[in-house]
Amino acid sequence: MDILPFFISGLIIGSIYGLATLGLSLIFGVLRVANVAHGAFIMLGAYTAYLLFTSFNIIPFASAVAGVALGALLGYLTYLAVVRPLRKIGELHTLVALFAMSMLIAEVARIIWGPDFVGYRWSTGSFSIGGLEVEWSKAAGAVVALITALAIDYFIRRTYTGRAIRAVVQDPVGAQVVGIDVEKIYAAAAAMGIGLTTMGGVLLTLFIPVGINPYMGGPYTLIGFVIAVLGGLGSILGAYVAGLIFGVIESVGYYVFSTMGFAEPSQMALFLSFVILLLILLLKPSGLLRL
Amino acid sequence: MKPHVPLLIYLLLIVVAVAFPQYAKTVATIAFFMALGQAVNIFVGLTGYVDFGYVAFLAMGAYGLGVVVYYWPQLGMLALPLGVLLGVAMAASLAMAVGAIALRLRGAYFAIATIGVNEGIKHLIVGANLWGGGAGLILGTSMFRAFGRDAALWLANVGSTVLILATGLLAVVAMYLIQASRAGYALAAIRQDEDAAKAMGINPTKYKLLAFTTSASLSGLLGAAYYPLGNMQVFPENVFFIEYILDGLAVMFIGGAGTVTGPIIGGLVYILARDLVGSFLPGMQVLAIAALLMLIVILLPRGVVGTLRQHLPPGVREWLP
Repeated sequence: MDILPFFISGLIIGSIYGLATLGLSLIFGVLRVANVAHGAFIMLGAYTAYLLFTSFNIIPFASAVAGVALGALLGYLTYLAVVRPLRKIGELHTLVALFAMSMLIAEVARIIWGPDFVGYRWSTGSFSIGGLEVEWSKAAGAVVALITALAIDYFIRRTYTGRAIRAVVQDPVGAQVVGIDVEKIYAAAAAMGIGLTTMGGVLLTLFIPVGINPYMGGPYTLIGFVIAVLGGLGSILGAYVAGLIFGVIESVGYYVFSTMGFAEPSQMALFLSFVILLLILLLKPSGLLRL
Repeated sequence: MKPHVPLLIYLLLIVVAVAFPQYAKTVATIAFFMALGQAVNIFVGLTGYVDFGYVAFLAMGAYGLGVVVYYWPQLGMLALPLGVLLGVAMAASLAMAVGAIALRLRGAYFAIATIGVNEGIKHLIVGANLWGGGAGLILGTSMFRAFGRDAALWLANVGSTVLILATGLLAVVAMYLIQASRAGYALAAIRQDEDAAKAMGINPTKYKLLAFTTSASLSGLLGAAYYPLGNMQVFPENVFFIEYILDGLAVMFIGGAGTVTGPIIGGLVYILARDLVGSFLPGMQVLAIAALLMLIVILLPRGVVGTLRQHLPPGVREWLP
């Protein structure tokens, strides 16, 4: 079998991975908090897409807007209830509280929606490229993710709020001195970051026809951090490009493991991502990309 | 500090388990969470770092004993100490490997590095079909062959409970020894200001690695005592169960991070809360524990014992380490 189709499908899902990681990287850059509840918000995004599609026939690109709104609200609440009160107490407490919150969200989701795997099918037809049949919905999802990433990058680089965010990333005290409302920037970054994460979760459902489940978040937390670290924590465009790279590594890795025959390829691809994470942290914890 | 009170509690529970085997399993359930909190505390409480892949150490201990009993039952009674030793060694090696990479990093980066450890190793065992792969190891027959029927049943009931309690006891001793030594002062300095500690000539990675490996070894022992010995089986879905780190952190934070008696109090509160929720709102235990941990961390960051210690006169405080 040819490797090219795996490369292309890796790029397509990698675009979604990249989008889903923008928020993680943004939150780390601004708030200096590793959002270990990342996967829980991906899961909420996935359920948003599933419920809106099955109940109201709303297509995922429309529910992405709802996902952003829901995520932004939850992100703001998380900032008020968890991140801000624990800022003075310390990093350990913040991480543990976020971890507990992610399990709390998963449990609430299980009680509301049940523990079973669910999914939906949105058929849009497909086209052929490089020996690979690509569904229009997936390709469109990848393009929407790309446009969103570029828009966020433009926002961060060119607008006043974006520049204020970058100032806080560089030096919160200095930013305060020149008249930036740092509290507001913190809250905005949390809302925007989680909003982008749930949007990533919405678009991800295009790729996992039966993979939506209250506990689906765990692997995505791992994948999210692999990508964020690969792109340099805090870097927006870096996270997106790293998402593309990771998508390719995962997809080609799956192909390589499946030709070896002795191992279960999807499990081994996840093991591979864990090894990549440790290797980057060992060799270059500041990330491979400087964007 | 005077470690007499926590040591006595563990010794008393050991006596109860041996003298009244019918209560051994009940004691084991409570003791498992106390010992888990106690072991987690040695790393998290002493360094202020958090390891989200911690459950992998329990799994290493479980697989160490499980593999020896499953593949070499002809060793007879010798399989028990050898297996436990292998499990502890595997947990310690994993801690040293992960720690050598990740403990050079600060707080959040360390936590990120550990996120994949548990899932990563589980995927390796299931994916590459190691040690029974996804089907796990079922040890009943092997244990009967290795230890004889009666001895195997006694070991599964009383022996496993005593070993769990011994883990808690050893964790108290280890905590006492570390805190009373040079390493204890070094760790206290690192917790308060890592850069200042470094400037004073302390090697932070070395002391963090010491606490990490000690904590992981004890968890390995606990894993060996609980799954292969107590339940006669090792299933990857069980031993890598992510909720155990939630439990361990909950027990530790309820009692108070860094306190020695904390995990005992925390373990009791934890079991009480879980069973109460279990009988009134079945299926909501994890939800309740996650909510409890979140509330404790935000509203009572020092935990029960930690807060109590702040208000006690120094003479009494010494006895409640």
